[in-house]
Amino acid sequence: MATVTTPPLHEDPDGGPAADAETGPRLRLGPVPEFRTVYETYFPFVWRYTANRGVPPMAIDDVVQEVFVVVHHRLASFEGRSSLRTWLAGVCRNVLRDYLRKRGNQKAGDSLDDQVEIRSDGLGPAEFLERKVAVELLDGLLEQMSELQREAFILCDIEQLSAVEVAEMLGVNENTLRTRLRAARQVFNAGVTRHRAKRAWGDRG
Amino acid sequence: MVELYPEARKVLDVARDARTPSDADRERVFASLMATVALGAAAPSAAAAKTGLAGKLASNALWIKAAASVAVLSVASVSTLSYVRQKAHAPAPAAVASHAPALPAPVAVAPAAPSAEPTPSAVAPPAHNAPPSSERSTPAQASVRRPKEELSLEQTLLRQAHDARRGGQPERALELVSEHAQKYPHSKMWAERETLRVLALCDLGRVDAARRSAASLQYLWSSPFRATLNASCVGK
Repeated sequence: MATVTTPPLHEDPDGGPAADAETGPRLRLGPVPEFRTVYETYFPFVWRYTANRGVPPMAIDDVVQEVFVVVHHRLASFEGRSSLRTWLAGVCRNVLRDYLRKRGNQKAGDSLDDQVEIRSDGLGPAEFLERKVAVELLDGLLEQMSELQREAFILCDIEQLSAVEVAEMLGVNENTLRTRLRAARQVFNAGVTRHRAKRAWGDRG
Repeated sequence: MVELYPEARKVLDVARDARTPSDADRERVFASLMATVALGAAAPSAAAAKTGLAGKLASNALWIKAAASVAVLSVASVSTLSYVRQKAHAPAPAAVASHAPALPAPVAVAPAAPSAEPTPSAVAPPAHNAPPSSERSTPAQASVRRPKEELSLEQTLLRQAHDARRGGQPERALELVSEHAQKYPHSKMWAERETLRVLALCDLGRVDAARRSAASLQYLWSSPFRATLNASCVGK
């Protein structure tokens, strides 16, 4: 099974340009970074963030595209006062907030596009199942977290942004962020432990 | 600080891996993105515009984007409208800009070489859509003038420039483009305007001036303007 090696905080998890520990990737090509470079570097981040925030698979393309349309329009005004990833995550959050608000007005219920979609590209059935279970478990546990806990968990523990970056992005102080992150990790640890225990119990039966 | 248990970390890694997009996802979204953004980007050459349906479609692309902008503006968030009202003397940012985090205003960069052509300094991409101080309305007037109307005026001016160029009057097109730049230095349609300027300069055979103007669009060359600019005199 291919697992993703968690990079240290001072590197871009997507293999992008080198980063400062506190300020994020150094992606400054003169006054404005080139759009395609930004897209290539941050596409996986935007995609995962969108998926982890509860956007159904069938809508991810549209939401990610909307994020990059905004980036395309606004990139020229990026002055590098924050890291590009921080700025981009801010764009993502705003686009997602609008999307989720609109979606919240729709009738609730399971629809086809709410189904968890796992890429099967060359995976064996066991690996495919492991991925499916992991994603469903993650989604279920994210739902148990508060909004701020969820954001902190996704950005810090999944996307490996620094606490300083995330605190700035969410507009909270670092201590508040750490408190929320601690609570989120407790939810996640407890959920995974429960899941393992259930599975072990099921295996015995 | 509570750390993730090893088994929890493993679940997270597997889920992260499962949610990392493929190259096909990347290319598919990029193609779709470019198609969306390019809707209004292509301003065809006068010759191309005369060549049937393709030319007509392309010549209308600029106005499709403008129309889309109006539509997007009409569903702009309440918070954006509220911001507009508070800043009545400075017209609102475009709807898409409402998604972007607060940013300081861009610094206009003076062109490196002097030119007889109106300087491209006004083409610094906009942080907001404020007219120059000489054109700025009083707060009372601004509160009456809606962003949609503002956009419509801009659109009309650019359309005239576009029509002038298509009608074989690139000098007139340049005048109108310059008028637009003067009235709306922070326009959301600055890129379209500057692309039109480049094309008009090309029509006049002023390749050096066209290249200077195109410099401001350089960072866009990887996206919707590439085809248009590459096909013009500055791309040859």
